[in-house]
Amino acid sequence: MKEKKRPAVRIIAFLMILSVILIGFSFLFKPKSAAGCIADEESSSLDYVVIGDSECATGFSPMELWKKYGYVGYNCGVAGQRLQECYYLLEQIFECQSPRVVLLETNMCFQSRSDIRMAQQAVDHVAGNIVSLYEYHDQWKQLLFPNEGETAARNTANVNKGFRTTFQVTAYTGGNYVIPSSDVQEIASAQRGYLDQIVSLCREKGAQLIFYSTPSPINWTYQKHNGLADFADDNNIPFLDLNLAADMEAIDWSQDTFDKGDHLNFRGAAKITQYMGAYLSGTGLLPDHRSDAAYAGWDEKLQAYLVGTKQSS
Amino acid sequence: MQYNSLLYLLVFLPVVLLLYQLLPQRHRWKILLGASYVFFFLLSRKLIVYLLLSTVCMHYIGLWLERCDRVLAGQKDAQNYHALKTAADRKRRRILWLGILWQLGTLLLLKYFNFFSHNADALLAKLSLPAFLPTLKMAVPVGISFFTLQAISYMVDVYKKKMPTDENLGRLALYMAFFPAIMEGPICRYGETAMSLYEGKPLTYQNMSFGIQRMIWGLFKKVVLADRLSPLVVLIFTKYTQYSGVTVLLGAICYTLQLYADFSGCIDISIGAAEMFGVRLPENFRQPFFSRTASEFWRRWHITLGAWFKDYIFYPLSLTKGIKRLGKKARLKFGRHIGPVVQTIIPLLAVWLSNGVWHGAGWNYIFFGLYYFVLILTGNLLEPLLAKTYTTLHVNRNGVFLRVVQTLKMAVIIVTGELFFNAHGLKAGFLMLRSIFTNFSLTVFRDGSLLQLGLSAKDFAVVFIGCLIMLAVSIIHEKGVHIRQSVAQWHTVPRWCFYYAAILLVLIFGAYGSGYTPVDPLYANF
Repeated sequence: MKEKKRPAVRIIAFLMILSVILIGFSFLFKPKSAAGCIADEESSSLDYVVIGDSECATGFSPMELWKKYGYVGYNCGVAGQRLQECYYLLEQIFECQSPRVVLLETNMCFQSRSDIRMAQQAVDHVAGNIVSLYEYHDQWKQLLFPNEGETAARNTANVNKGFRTTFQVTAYTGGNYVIPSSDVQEIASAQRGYLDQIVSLCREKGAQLIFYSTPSPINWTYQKHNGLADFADDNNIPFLDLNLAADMEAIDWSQDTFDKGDHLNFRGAAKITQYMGAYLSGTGLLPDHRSDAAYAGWDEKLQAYLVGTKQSS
Repeated sequence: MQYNSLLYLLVFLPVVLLLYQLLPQRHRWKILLGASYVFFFLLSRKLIVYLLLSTVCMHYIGLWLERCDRVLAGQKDAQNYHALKTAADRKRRRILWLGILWQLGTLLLLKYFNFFSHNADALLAKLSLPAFLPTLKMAVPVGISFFTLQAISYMVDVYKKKMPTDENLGRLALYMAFFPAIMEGPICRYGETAMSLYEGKPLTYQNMSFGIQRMIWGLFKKVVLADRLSPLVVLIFTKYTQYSGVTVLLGAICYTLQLYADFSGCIDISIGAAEMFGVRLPENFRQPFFSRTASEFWRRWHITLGAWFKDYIFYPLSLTKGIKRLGKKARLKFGRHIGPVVQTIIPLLAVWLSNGVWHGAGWNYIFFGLYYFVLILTGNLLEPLLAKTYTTLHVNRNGVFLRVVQTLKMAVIIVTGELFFNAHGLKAGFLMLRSIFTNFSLTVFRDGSLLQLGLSAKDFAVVFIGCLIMLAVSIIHEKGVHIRQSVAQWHTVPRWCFYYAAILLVLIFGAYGSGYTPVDPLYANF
């Protein structure tokens, strides 16, 4: 009997010690302050965040809003990101920031992902919540090399506040893609579930959620617009569809896209950002921080941004 | 569901293990079969129908072959037995070919039809003729290249009477679909694995412990090394025109390491998972970078594929009357050494063409196969000359110096092959190779551009240390030491510390989560 019990006892002892080790390492690896959950931004320093997929990452430049309005925010767009990941990201953002406005680029609302991928991400999320080491394992770089400077890539991301700048031009030649329709493309139930959670989370945190759609002949359809407009109406969320915005400086599809209308390049992104800036300015939701000494660093980064985006030498 | 995902490691696998252990031994295979189909369905959805059809086909071909034998056995006393046997043999051969055509036809249609139609249409366009072959939109089920070979090997083995027909469809289905091996192999033989899969051995402490250790080692290779190298490899192979020859060479070396770490890592995870159920899957790698010749490399790299080609293409072709006749003539004309080598040309060519095509529908894969065909054939032809040279120069063939030189030579050969293997087309492969020689500049190591290839200095450090660990383990294995058994002899405290360190190493230095793009197992696409 004793012989039979031994393996079970050994397994339990092994797992218990492993748990203690994981808890210990989790404590060591979890960032002590919330700063760092969005690049190197100070905690509670941002007034707005932009979330979405590559349409968002390449189509919105926070530095343009700083330059003109003094609004401080970050483009948290990630290529290929789905609503589920976006929801988890937003949860994480609210842990370290208190944005007043959340701008959600809507392209990902129609990006489908297999159930298995979603289940995989859900398990990863739960594991990260239970064992912080899993979530923050990459902190070894900071723990082992605390004084080492950032990589060029990360610096660029920080100067651009998450915006992915592209200057290439590959024209879209497909002609008019805005074809009015009363048909509705419903948001799939899985996506709708996460969208509901994002709405609830923003309400709970007191942030104004705003939907916007980046112009894209490749990804956008009137049917999708109708589906989103219905959801936005039902939930009382402002929805700016820039594919239909007559008062915006028109996108020149021969110049403003780098991949034949899939994504915008810098020129196109600047137009989107200006339009969004004017809209946000009209809402009065965001304060102007340009004379705030706490944000002096933004001006330094602005100079680097202007050089990087060839707006000054 | 990837083998290195938490969903697989912490949910799917433990649930299957638990259910497996809870059920009586005679029903355990049902849990494995159910889990395998669930796993396959989650990956390929309705494409599971191809797996089912393939399984049913091989099952009935086996039964049909057996029926032929039974009918013939019943006529043993007939006067015209010899004629009946000849007719039965012919029938059996036709049945086998029917099965092979079904299996291969499905694979060719799904994986290669569009490649064929594009090339045929391009050829017609050059001849100013209208294109007529359509491009078909077809999804390819995961693992089809692997389970097709397993099905063929079963049918051929039954045909050759190496083993009896299995009338149990469930056992055959499990052999075809066993979830740890369905995605990337290893390519199993029915005679080696089917019975142990069906047996339903109880879980044991040693099997569990050894299985988990093997899986952690696989995870180390896949998550720490292969996935970390992925951004650099993707960048260089996609934008090779923007980089110097040294950077392209670095990309080719890193891809070779990535492919090995990824594929062998996933195989370790597969073998480890099977080991937990008491099932021994065949080994697929044996320190391939220690090879001294191209043929030795293929006896150490993707062993089960090489063995399959040897058993089901090389030997059967070599034993055909035509090839034997050719060998006889060649021996008379070219002598005792060159003659047999000439005899192997056609079977070797068939093997290496198949090897190239099996890996994918692309000219670069065909080139990859032919590249090794030429190398191996040249090696065989030059062998007497080399032997004579070594004797004349008094060089010890097993001496350290020659071994190092030959291993380095093989490193160059392997990296060159993998460069073509991963290049975006054959032309891109040649351009990349040319740039290594014509655009050679070491500035990438001086101007900081090395750190703009998707890997930071810390990432490079992890890769370097990871490679050292992999090398150390390879050396130990090469010396015939069984690491897990050796560690099992240690005292509990150092042994457990070793296990904890291994787990932490993977958890901390793995390239996963925020900031990393998940990388699907590379061989799952072949």
